[in-house]
Parts: sequence; C-alpha cells; structure tokens
Amino acid sequence: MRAAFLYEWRRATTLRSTWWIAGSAVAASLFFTWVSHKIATAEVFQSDGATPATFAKTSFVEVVNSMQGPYQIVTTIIAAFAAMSWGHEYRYGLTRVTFSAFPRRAEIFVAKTGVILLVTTLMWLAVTAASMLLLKGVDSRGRINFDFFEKLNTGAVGMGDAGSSAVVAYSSYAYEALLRSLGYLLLLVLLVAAISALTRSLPLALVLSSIWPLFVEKLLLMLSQVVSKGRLGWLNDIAPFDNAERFVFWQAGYDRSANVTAGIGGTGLPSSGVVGDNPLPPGVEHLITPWRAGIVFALWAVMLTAAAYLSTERRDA
Amino acid sequence: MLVECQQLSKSFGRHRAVSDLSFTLSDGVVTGFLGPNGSGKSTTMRMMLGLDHGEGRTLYDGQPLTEHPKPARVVGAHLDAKFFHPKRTARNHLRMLAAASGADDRRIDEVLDLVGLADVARKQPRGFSLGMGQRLGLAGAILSDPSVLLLDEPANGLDPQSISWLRDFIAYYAGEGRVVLVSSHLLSEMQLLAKHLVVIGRGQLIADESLEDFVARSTRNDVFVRTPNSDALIAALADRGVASIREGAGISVPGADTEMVGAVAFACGAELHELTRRTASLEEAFLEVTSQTQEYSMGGHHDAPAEGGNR
Repeated sequence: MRAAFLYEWRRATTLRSTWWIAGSAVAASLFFTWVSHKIATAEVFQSDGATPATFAKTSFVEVVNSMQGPYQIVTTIIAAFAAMSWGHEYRYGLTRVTFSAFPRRAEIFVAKTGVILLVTTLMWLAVTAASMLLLKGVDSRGRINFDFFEKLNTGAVGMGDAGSSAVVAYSSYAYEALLRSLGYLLLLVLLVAAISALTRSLPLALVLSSIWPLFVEKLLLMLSQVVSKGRLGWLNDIAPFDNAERFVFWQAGYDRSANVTAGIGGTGLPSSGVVGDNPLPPGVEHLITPWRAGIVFALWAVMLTAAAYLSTERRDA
Repeated sequence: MLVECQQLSKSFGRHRAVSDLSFTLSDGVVTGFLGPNGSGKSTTMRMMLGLDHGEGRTLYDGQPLTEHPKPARVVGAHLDAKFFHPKRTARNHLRMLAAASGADDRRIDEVLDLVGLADVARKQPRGFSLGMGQRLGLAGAILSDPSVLLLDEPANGLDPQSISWLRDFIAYYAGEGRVVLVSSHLLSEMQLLAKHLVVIGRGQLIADESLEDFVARSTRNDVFVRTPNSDALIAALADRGVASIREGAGISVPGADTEMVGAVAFACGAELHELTRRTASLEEAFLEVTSQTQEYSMGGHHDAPAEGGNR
C-alpha cells in the first residue's frame, strides 16, 4: 500500500495543475474574504448592537464563507483536483500504465482516494489559514480575536405565518462550523472523484460537479414540486446538494420550507428578528438538523464511491 | 521466469476478439507476436497484464500477476507511445512509476540515459515526437528491471538508428535471461529480432513455433533452376511426382531441395546454369498463413489469398 500511496502522491504533486488549483483556491478565497469583510464591516458598524464580540464572530463567518464564496467557486476549484485525479488518467491512457504497475486495483483506488482527501485537507488548511491571516492583517485596530470555542449564530428560521416575529436562531461553535466546512469539502471531492471515475471523462465530471449543485438539482426539485403539487416533497430530504447546503455552516439550521421572517444578512447572521434559545416547534426538528443533512450527503458520496470502486475493479482499463 | 497464457478469450459485444488462446513464453528468448490488424494482439497483451478482463488466465512463474508482491518487478509493459501526461516532465513521469517498484533516482537517470532522453528529462513530453514517446514508454517499461517485458509496436515512429538500437537492446535484455514479447508490423525487423513466434489471426492461435520452423513451413520455399533443357527437366520432375512451375527464364520447384533437383537434372541430362535454394521471408510466410484470417483488409478482398512479396 505504501508504494501505491507514494505513486499517487507523486502523480498528484508532479503536475502543475495541482499547484495551480491550490493557488487559485487560496487567491479566490482571499478575494472573497476581503469582499465579505468589507460588507460585514459596513453591516456591523451600522448595526445598533455592534460590539467587538460581534465583529469577531462576523470574522469567523467570513472565513467559512470565503470557502464557499459566490456560487461555491472555491470548493468547485478544489473539487476540480479530485476530478482530475481520475480524469487525467483516463484522458491520457495512464490508467493502463498505472494498473500495469498495480494490478491489484483496490490498492490504487484506496491510495488515490486517500491522496485526494489528504491534498484536499491541505488545501482547506491553506485556504482557511490564508483567510484568517488576511483578516488579522486588515484588522488594524486589533478587534478580531479568533476563539474556536466561541458560539456563533449560524442561521434563523421564522415559525408561523409570514410576518410573524417568532424566530428561532441556530448556533454552532466556531470549531464545529469550520470542521463542517471541511467535512462538506471532503465529501464533495469524494463525490466528484467518483463521478470522474464512473464517467471516465474529465470534462463531463467537471461540468456535472459544477452544474449539478448550482442548477440541475434545484431545477429538478422545483419541477418535481410543481408537477406533483407537493407530493414529492420528500425528494428534498434525499437530494444530495440540497442536504449539503443545510450541512455547511452558513446554511446550517436553515429550513427551506419555513417562513423566514428574520432576514439573513450578507454575513449569514440574522439581521433582524428575535434571536434566542427558544425550543423548536414539534415535528420540524428533523428538517433543521445539519448533521442529518450531512449524513444524507455523506451517503451519496459513499454510494457513488462504492459504485466507482466496482466500476474500476470490473471494467477494462 | 515462465509465462503461461491459458485459454484466453475475450469478446466485445458479439465480436470475438480473442478465442481460446494458449501459449507459453520462455526466458532468454525474444518472442515475436504477429497477427494482422484487429487479430487481437493488443487485447491479448492487455489481458496478460490484467488490464482487460476476460476468460482464461496468465501465470507468471505459476502465479497470477496479482499474487506477486511486487508486480512491477515481474512485468514491464510498453503499450502505447502516448501514455503519459503531456505536462508532466519525462523525469517526473519516471519518478511516479518508480514508486511502484522502489527504483531510486540513480536508476531513473540511468534509464533516461539508456533510451537517449537524458537531455530532455526535465521537459514536458507534449512536444515529444512519436519516437521520443516510444523511448519514454520503453524507459518506463524497463525502469523496474522486470523479468518480463511486453512491448506493443515499440518500433513505430523510430528512425533507422533507433530501430537498430532497439533491436540490440531487446536482444541484450532477453540475453540476460528475461522473457520478451514484442508485437510489430515491421516483419523485416522481427525476422532479425525474434527467435520464436506466436502468430494469431481473428483471435485464434495460428502458429507457436520457432521463427526458423515457421518460415520453413512456407510453400514459398523452393529451388530455382535455370537450364536450356527446361522441358526435359520439368518432365523428369513430373515423373518423380514433383510439381514445378515455369518462372521467367527458369523453373521453380516448390518445397524441394537442391540435392534432389540436381540429381534429377543430372539423370535427365539437363545442363544447369543456376541451381538456387530460395527461402521465404518472414513476411511471405506470414502473409501466406494469415491470408485467410485478416479482419480488415484493403481493397475489399477479404478472403483473397495475399500475394507474396517481390522476389
């Protein structure tokens, strides 16, 4: 196994594209952190309740948000690395070279998956550290003090009719939020790598992994609701990226079907409404548990990875 | 090392690419793997490496490749001149492959030097010619110093000097006691290189014998005689039940030997101006035995016997 890991490590690190992807992810993350910081600074200072603590919490949100960015650009960039791990092999006929050297294909599959997860984790660390360093750098007044055990408001859900002031806010520890963003990223790259291995096409894997979460799934869910007049509501509960969104930090606790009376600010924090520790109304807990959503997304990743393994093992190289 | 291919069979849909193919490769000998286009040579090689799945099995010293602890040290294969990432340098390509067998940097440089790529070792192979790609593929195949070398059309795109080098290298490699299987369409090269032949057509075994025996079986082996008394000689040969054919100013006696034809000529008083034994080339023998098994032929003469080469 050690030889297979070394092989995969060298395969990944001797390509410029890997370094370009890592550099692009950091650069994009820094850009979004800076933009998010500018927005948050304006919001926080215009808010009546702005305090240094709010400012610090906001910064954490910025760090995690920078990972997602608009249209999840940073995660999509990192996921491209996973797509290339299998895609390059099939595109350039290298699978035949690889499987000749490692005829026990399970070895190389495990090694490839391991290296994808390792490199992704390293990229996540680089992106997160770069964002935090940037915020510390631009914080000339020294008001940002990252406390990983700080409890952050992560979202809000309004209960009752539209216009109601009954709002439930959800919170998460900073470290938990950060780990969830890493968890989401690792599951995403597993899923993208699996798509790449199954389709044996780098372009198809890149396109599918980009447009599926952004458009295709949302469109399918919307159409299913229209056509079935709500009878297919359960599709939302099993849709991979709909659940993934509820798992990641800024969406965690946010229920798509509830009437949100509290606006969500650009930082992901509730910008109005009542924020407190009110218990949830009965029957809706399952909708707004980020871990449950995470498990659904993980099941998709695991199922597709298992299918990719069977395909790799059984199909001709 | 003994390589045994046992009843290999493979179908693509309804097309039977390889059918019940069995042969054995011995060490110390270069074995030529011949067959017309689409006869199943590449598929067979991929099956031997476990790249394509099918029926049958290939054993390396009695064990499937998957059961050897370091498969990269058992078999080295070069299947295509373009199996590399165009933006990974030649040296890094070999560094990656070296991980499979534990070959060190010194061995990588040694191999690059051996195949003549030392000067471009740190260049991206996207600009490599077909011949340079072949050299890189060969470097990858021999990097681990494997006991078995499988080469699919390794001479394609090589210049005459490189072909000569490749021939010497393959002969040297086999001479070191390794198994070498080479497929090639360059039959004149194969005639110089191989000692043993495995010939297939439409996925089936046609011949598995020494090159000498394969060529000797050809009906194109004959004795050419030039004599002013050709009618008398033809009649005398016919009396002994030996067929002969007029060919230009002489007579061709297929399958005969010079001693017999000389004796008949002497007996019938024919004056001989030339008595030559002509041996078929590998190309002629190959075309003869594969004429009925061509999967894809030019000019639509699918079942027409192939013509021999010019003499």
